[in-house]
Amino acid sequence: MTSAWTLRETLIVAVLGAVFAALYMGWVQIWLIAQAIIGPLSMDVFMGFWFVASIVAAAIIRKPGAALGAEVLASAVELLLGSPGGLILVLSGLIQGAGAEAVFAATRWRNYSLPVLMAAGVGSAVFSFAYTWIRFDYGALAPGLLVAMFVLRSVSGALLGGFLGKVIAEVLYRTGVLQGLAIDRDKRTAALA
Amino acid sequence: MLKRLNPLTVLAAALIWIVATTLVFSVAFQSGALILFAALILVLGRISPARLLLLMIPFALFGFGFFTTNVLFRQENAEAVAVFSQSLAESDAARGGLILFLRALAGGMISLFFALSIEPVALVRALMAYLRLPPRIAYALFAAVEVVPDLAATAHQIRLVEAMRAGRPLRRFPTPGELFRMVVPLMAFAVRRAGRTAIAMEARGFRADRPRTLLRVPGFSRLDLIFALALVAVLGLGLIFA
Repeated sequence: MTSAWTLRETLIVAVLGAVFAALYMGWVQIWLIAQAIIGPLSMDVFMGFWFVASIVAAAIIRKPGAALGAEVLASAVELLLGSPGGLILVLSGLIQGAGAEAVFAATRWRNYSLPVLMAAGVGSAVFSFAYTWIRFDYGALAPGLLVAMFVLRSVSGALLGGFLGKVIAEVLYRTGVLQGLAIDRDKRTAALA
Repeated sequence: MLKRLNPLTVLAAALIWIVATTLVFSVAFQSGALILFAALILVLGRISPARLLLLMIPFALFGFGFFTTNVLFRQENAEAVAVFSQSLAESDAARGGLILFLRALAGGMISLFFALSIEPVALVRALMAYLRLPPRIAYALFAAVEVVPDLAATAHQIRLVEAMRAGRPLRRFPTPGELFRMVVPLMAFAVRRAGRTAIAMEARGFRADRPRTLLRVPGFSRLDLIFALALVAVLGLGLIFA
């Protein structure tokens, strides 16, 4: 299997980015309501969903760059659709996608099992935590709160990013539209073995 | 006037200012950046103040979260602050929170300035022409943007089908359950559409490795130079006085 992307794969990642761009914009509204009700920790609780595009794309395409590319393309589509926060979202997407990509790179892009996908969600959480640490001066906050924020964000990344991403990829696979892609080839190979 | 600028000039200026607001921890600098870009949007972009305020609400809520977090949970003990400071407003926690609040607003304002100043398609063309964005990715982005209206139409169709099956009129707004059930069908639609688009593009000879010409590439003018120099000069002054 070549690591070069086909045009179909590139387009699939881009259009999935468009769907997730719409979902992400909707998720922002839900998060803002939660922010008003449960306060500052809500961002860490909700953050994991913003990693899901990279997990779904990686689970489907299974090639180097899929996770990073999907997250950046999703944010780029938001930018092209005129989202007010588009430029900042592209920076965030780059960092979150790199976190997931680092985990897949550690497996040499060979393992897309549920634990690895959940670890990729945690990878995104760790990278995004480092980014918000720098951007929003987390070093000045109470250590207890920082631990709570980090744990919540990691759990959110594992569940709303990794686990949900796996569920979405599997359900999408069952519709039959992923025929001929890496997820399909791997499942067929596994069935024959 | 902003639309006459090359999108790459606006992109570079916005990125430099975002980095600066991320690195400089000062109320004056963050306020200055906020006022500068708000003025650019209002004066050059001709956006009404009411619309600008409306667009900034999410950033304000986002920033307010950092303000309250800092006031309540900064490392210094909040009770000690209450006892030894004349008021909480004079504490480092409140000052730090205020800076982060302003940083979120300034970052949002710069991002908004960027979104309101560029033609998205022109930006992608400029990225292809000047920064060697691979055409495969650029055209995939165009295809993704084209999909969005069709996604909305498909979502409407799915809602109509659900309403007909349930024997009820179409709701004005979808319920969370309806939205949840739409996600996978919409993704399946998008993936199918991507496959068809790929075949269509390849059938028309679209190849990533071939040299290509580009139509309507945005050029650079003297206005870009003036705009870039002005923003860099203001940034330099801001850094000196911050």
